[in-house]
Parts: sequence; structure tokens; C-alpha cells
Amino acid sequence: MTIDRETLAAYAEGHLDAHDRQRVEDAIAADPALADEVAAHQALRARLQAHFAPVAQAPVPDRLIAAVHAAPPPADVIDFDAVRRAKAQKARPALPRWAVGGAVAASLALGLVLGTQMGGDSTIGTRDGKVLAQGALDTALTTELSGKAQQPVRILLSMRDTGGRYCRVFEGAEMAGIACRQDGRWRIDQLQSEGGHEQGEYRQAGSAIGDIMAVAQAMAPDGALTAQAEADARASGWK
Amino acid sequence: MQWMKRSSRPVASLKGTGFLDMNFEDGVVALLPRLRRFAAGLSRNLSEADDLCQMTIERALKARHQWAAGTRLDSWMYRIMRNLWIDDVRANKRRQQTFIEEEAGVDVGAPADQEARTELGFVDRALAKLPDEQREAVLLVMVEGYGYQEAADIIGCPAGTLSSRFVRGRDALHRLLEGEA
Repeated sequence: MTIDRETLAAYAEGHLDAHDRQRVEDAIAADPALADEVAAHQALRARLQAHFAPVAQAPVPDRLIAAVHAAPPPADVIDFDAVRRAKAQKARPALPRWAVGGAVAASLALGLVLGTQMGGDSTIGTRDGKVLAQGALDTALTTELSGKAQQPVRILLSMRDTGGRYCRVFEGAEMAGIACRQDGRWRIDQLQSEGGHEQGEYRQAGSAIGDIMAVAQAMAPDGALTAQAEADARASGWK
Repeated sequence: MQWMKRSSRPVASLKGTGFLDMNFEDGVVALLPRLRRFAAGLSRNLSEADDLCQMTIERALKARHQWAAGTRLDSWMYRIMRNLWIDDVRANKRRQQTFIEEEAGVDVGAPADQEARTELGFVDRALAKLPDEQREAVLLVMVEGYGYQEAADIIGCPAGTLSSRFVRGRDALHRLLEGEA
């Protein structure tokens, strides 16, 4: 039975599961040299940890705490009014139906990437120059209550904006947005796709919802509707 | 407004559980002692470590929308710090030729007496002699307590690569400290 040195080191670090741990302990019982290597590892580990412990135990400088609470940079949220204005300026005909991904980005003067659909069917489209929810998104906005784990679209909260419209924050697989009820339709007021613009390996799947929620906060002076108020609004057709 | 405080955007609270319910800023603050320790190991100089911490915080805030709620904030922050160190700070230092002299020792920690000071010098000087890729592997596994896969994810390399770098770095460090003791 042979134990490679990486596995032996993982054992010394306490990172092995029960099965592998037993395997290593059997090997150690048969070969004292392995026990010596584990002991040397643990001695080095203890020395390193003692060396760096004062840093982790020292008070964190105020300037670092202050840096954490510095004002966050402005949210990078798509403003659909700006999109509409830009489209009008360029006198482009409204697209009959929004396609996906690159085609959409190319069609928008601002070069914004809508990216991904939420379900198999198109969930956002245009009519008379307005950006509207359709398909699964329209259904979810009209029928679902907040907080239910629905697929492919989840409604996070409902609110009334300053103009008195009912608005709802929604989240799909790779996008999030705000839709507001107007003229019997759900107009897409805000939309953000996931994914970031930063370079580097640490990039993660984005969290578009954070920025969208910041916008929602600014839109709704009275905050989110209670569950009862939301149910009442749904019963009255969001009017 | 009750459903959302200015200082706690509900990125985590809407999606997460447990640790993730902590708001972003509180999560970062809670990580600062560990981040300082990692920074001190990378830079081997406490004031430089704090500069690296500050850059990491600023980068993290700027990129906070890229942090996927439901994933570990600590790994994400370590990754940002490590990449800043490798890509930015270290490269810059090399250009400016101001890299800390190995023989100058390092002022990590607060030695109470000469014996402690000497001990600090040994460990720091030995770490300084490791190649970057071995030093970061040793720090992440032995000091920060990450498993091979977690450390590999932070560095962005396969777990097998990480574990062999780690063992080589550990052995080299062991030899260096044995020789100096």
C-alpha cells in the first residue's frame, strides 16, 4: 500500500474523509517514516500558525473598516427610458419581436446586452415601441405572489411606484428586472442581465438582483407591499 | 424603509441562508482579520499588507454584483486579493525595484523580545525564498486552513497542481527552517 505525499499532507491537515483517513492510518502503522513526516508537517504548521496569529488577532485598522463602508459605486442598471429615447433619436423602427443575445445587443443603440431568456419562449417583446413582458414572464407577473420559488421566473416583491402603478421585481435564471402595470400590460421598467464587466479570474456569475433592488428602493416611497396588499392587488387585476 | 436598509442591499438575504444572510459589508468586515493575515503572508510587511487589504476591499465593492449570492464570500475575497497581489502589486514592485530586502527581515507581528524577533525573521525570510506559487499554496493550506480544492479554486488552478505545489513548498520551507534553526 502506497500513500502519495500529497495525500499524506492532506491527512496531516485533517482534510481526508473517513475512508481515506483509515487508509493512511493503516499505512502509517506499517511504516514509521510516514508517521515522522506527519509529525514534521504538523510541527511546521503549528509554527506558521503561531507566526501569523498575531496579525489575525490584532485590531483591524480603522481605515480598512471605513473602506468597507465607503459609498458603493453606482449600480449598472439598464434604464429602459434611455433605451427608448436612444431608439427614437436614431429613428429606428421598433423591432417586431426581440430576439436573443447578440441580436438584441446589436439592435439597441446603447449596446446593452439583454443576454439570456428566462425560459424556452421569449419573455420580453415590444409593441408600439413599448417593452413588454410576455409569455412566462407575463403570466408570472400577473398570477404569482412574491417569494414563491417559481421557475423560470420568480417574483421577489411588489410595490407601488410614485405614479401609483403596481410594480414587481422579478428574477430569472440570468437576469432580473422590474415590471410595472400600465394600460393593462406589464411594461419592463428595468432589466439587468447577469455577468459583469470586470476582468480577472475571480469573476463570478453576477448578482443582477442587487442593483435592481437598489432601483426598486428608490422607486417605491412606501416600500414593498405586504402579502395581503399584494393578494388584494392581484385580485383586482393590478389596477 | 423597513424592507430594505440602505446599508444592507438584500443580495444575500433574499437568496441565501445562514452565513449568506449576513449583509455584504458585515461579511467583508468579519473577514478582515483573516484577509490581513493572508496579505501579511503574501507581502511579508504589515503596512504593505494593509494597502493590499484596502485595494482588495475597494475592488470587491466595485465588483460586488459579480459575487454570486449562495457562494462563499471568503473564497471570493481571497481570490480578489491573490489576483491583485500577483497581477498588480508584485509586478509593480518588480518594476520599481523596491522589493523588500530578504535580509532586512519583516515586521509582521509585534515581537516582545529579541528571541521572538529572531523567530519572526526566520519564518519570514524562509517564506520569502519560496517561489510565489509555492508560497501562496503553503499559506492557503497551512495558515488559512483551506483544502486543496478550495485553495485551487482561489488560485484558479487544478487541485492536483495545487497539491503538488503545496508539498514542494512545504518541503522547501521545512528545509529552510531546519537549516536556520
